[in-house]
Amino acid sequence: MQPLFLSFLLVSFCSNISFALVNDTWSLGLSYFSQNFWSETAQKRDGSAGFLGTANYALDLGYETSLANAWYWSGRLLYTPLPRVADGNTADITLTQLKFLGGQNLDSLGRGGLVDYFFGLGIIKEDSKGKGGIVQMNNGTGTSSFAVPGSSSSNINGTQSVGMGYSFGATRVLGEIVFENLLNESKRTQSLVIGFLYSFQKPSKGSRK
Amino acid sequence: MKQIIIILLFYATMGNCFTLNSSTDPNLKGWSNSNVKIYLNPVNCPSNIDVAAIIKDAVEVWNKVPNSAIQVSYGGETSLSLMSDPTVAYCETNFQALLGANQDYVPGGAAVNGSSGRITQGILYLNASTGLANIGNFNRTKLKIILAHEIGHLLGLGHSSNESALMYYDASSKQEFRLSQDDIDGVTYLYPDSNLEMKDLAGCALIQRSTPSNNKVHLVLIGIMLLPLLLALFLKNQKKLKCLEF
Repeated sequence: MQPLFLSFLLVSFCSNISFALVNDTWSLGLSYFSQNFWSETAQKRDGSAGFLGTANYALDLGYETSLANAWYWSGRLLYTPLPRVADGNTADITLTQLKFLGGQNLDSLGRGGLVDYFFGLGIIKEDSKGKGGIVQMNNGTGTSSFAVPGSSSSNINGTQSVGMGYSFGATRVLGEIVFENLLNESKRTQSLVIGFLYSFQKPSKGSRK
Repeated sequence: MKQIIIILLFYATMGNCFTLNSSTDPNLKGWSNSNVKIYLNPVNCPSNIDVAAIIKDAVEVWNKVPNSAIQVSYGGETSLSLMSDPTVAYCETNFQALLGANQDYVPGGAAVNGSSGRITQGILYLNASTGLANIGNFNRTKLKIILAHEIGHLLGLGHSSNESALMYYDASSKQEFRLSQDDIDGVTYLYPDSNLEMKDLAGCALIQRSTPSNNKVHLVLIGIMLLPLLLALFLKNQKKLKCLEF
């Protein structure tokens, strides 16, 4: 998945079509979705955490429309077509997120670049599909048989998002933090999304600037 | 004590790990009730440690999993020392003979019974033998890690092949009390929680809450945020998009 992701970035950055952030725009891209980032999970054998969480790579489809005073409104759908594989190849985990965002453009940063911030709400669905079977694993004093999960499980939760974007040409780069259980102190978690989107629609006079 | 290799024993009698706490059933789905209580029989527990307090601390790491419905709690003291529902933690002096585990290396073990894909009984054994892995020989952080690992077994998780996971079989190098993504994936698989589900329906009656839940508010707000997009699409189709171009 990483080579595909890097290839997409290369193509996106090399394109220099002078439009972006136009009214009524569809966009498609790839997003890096880091689940439970900011020292939430153990990532080393001693139980210590790293800053980034668990990597997922999502297709990111968006639609946006302009409102007044440089405000815009958008809907985005993220989906991980290649599921994350749980350790030991025991389960495939797929993420689907639908969100609606409001945002406002800030000052242009020259060369047609445009910075914006956004925030909004959404829902996320996480599907776990076990692969089934039996594996032999260490059991402390020998090995034992352990069942690999064989059925499916899913959960749907509300999300709250806040982020910033930078657009140049047909390319938009965005960074976003997605919160889950924002109001629940013990279960609150956050994910980091870094997206690279490509705008498809031809330029119109309805620039968001 | 530093030289002791802590190997956390997983011992299960159900038919017998992210894997599951069963050697035969890939469709195991944990306890039918996600509110799991653990009682303590303190009779043989070392006097220098407060096992009940450590259980209370250890369960919290599972209770904090973001999208899991599991809620584990300490239920109090009991005189039971057998597999039961609710489950029991017991300090076993005859640890090696009972579990077949080396009492110098293994500080704890957990076993569950089940039927129809659900766990129905459980017991958590703590090493109270004369061996080097007697739980009285570990510091509090290590004991929390040991207890949390065994509680993971009680919840239906088997061992993980990921060394960073709490459910990895060897805890000798673990210094910090934290779940890995693999542990989170496992317990979320067993006890998924959809906080957007409407939980007001019970049986044939509709239970009204006195105040709207945050979940409903969230869904209503999402609906409100969807409106501008729908409006824009509608106007576009009506060739009235200019109305939105300020």
